Amino acid sequence: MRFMLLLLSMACSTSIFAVEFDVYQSEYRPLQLALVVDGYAESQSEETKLYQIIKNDLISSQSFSTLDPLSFIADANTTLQKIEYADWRIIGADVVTACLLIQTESGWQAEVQVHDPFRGKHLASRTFNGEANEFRSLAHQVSDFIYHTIIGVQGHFNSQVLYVKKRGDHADLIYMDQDGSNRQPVGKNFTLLLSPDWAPDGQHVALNTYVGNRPRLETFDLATGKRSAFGSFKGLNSTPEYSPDGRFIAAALSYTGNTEIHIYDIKKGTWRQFTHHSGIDTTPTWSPDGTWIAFTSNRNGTPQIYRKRLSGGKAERISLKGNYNTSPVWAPHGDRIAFITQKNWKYALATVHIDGSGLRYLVTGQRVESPSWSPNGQMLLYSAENGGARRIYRIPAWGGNAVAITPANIDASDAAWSH
Amino acid sequence: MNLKHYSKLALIGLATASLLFVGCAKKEVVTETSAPAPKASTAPVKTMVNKPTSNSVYFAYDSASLDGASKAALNAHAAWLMDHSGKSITVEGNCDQRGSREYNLALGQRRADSVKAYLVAQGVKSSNIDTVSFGEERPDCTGSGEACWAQNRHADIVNR
Repeated sequence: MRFMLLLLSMACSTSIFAVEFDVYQSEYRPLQLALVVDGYAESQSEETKLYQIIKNDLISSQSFSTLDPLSFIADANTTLQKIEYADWRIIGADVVTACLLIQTESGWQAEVQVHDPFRGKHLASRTFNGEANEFRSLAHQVSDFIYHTIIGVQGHFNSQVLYVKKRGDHADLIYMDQDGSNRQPVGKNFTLLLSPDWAPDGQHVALNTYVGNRPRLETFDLATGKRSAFGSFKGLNSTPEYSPDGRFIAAALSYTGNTEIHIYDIKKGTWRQFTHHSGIDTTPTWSPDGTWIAFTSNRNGTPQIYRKRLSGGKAERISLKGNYNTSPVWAPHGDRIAFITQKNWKYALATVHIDGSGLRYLVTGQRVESPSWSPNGQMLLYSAENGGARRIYRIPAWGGNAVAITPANIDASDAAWSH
Repeated sequence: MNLKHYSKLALIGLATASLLFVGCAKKEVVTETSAPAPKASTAPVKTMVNKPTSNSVYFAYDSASLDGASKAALNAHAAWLMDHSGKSITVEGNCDQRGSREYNLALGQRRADSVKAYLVAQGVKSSNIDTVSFGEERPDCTGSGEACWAQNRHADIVNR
């Protein structure tokens, strides 16, 4: 009930304009989490902050809801010493997490235990340490630990997101933590900015911008802000995408007279042509093992998703339904590809197995575009238009609610989640 | 090939004829192709082809094909460019906002390339034509609906 209310309030705060998205709900019931966070009297504000960050992380995954701390019978210290499972079963806690925050000489320590009261089982314990200036990161590590213990998948709470804020012909590259904190422009006043892609090293971004009315590909150093062009051929230079090992960048170039996928060897500074077809081939995405590239091609008349081995061979069609399938993004675990399609005359975000089976619609709306996976493959970001401006939304890859993560008053698109 | 040859002859013929009638309008010259003039081929007519007033051609959804009206407009540009062989142009391809930004970049490029190929086929030097795509990034009309989208699916000829 409380969870429902919370969701409602989230929906209200994120949609001043009517939300027009048709969301394909999952029947999944979030786990009820008793999140018991305590500290000593002098660290009251950090204790509250820690609780808020962890709670926000876990609720944002839509796999958890949190129980009201007022219903808790024991504090963290007592729970860490000896947990009474029956007490937690009474309030309906599926999971109990006790977290004791202790101030150290240079920062903070969090002692964490995770329990399953219904099976009466201690699931995991760990102690986390962080410098004073790493408090948020410390909190996200605790979130990751709880998430991993319960769900069995790595958490994504210590990751970051980049997106494009467009102002007419100009655009800024915006950085933020996945939970929206530390939001700041890292690159300003690009003349158009498209398709930023995070290098596996986390330090560089490949992007498509225009200089002197010509499109080109650049790498952008997040630490220094230095821009370096690596693709400025005649015609189109677009859609850069790092290989999983960070050694190559696939991109769509048209200097041959037709838009084809080419592959750039970063160390050698050389290009080789990957696709050879008279149709449009664009938006390459690498399989996690680096042996395939999936891409959009209109070689059979309409844009569809294909995949082709790096070693060569014939392109195999993946998308089998509809006349408009674009923007494939391979999931980090390799089992699915997210892409943009159409459903009932609207654009839709969907995922599909790499053999074309198991099509799953996640959301439809206006101008639904540019999917990006969380590093653990559990969540997706995409952009959609709502009331004239585009916003970035986050949605669980298994279906669930779409939640806006950018403000309503800016035009945001092209989200890229760190690896 | 033959067609092209005749229309060129006709064009030059008409241009020659217009030399005799100083100051007459030349905008429609290209489309009036019915009367081949016998002595036209050697006449020095270079200054008489006017720059076409329309610089845009429009496309159907998800298409880079040129229709009859577009080809007629491009014939006029081809004539002017051949007449001013030192001039270079850039063809800018644009798309409506439907579909993905990335795919639209490629579609806009295909539109620009399609215009370039047509002009080259009419005899314009390939090296004098540059192409660029802005995809859906520079809409003329920012609303939605076909009336608006149709205005945004165009390629523009821009003189440098």
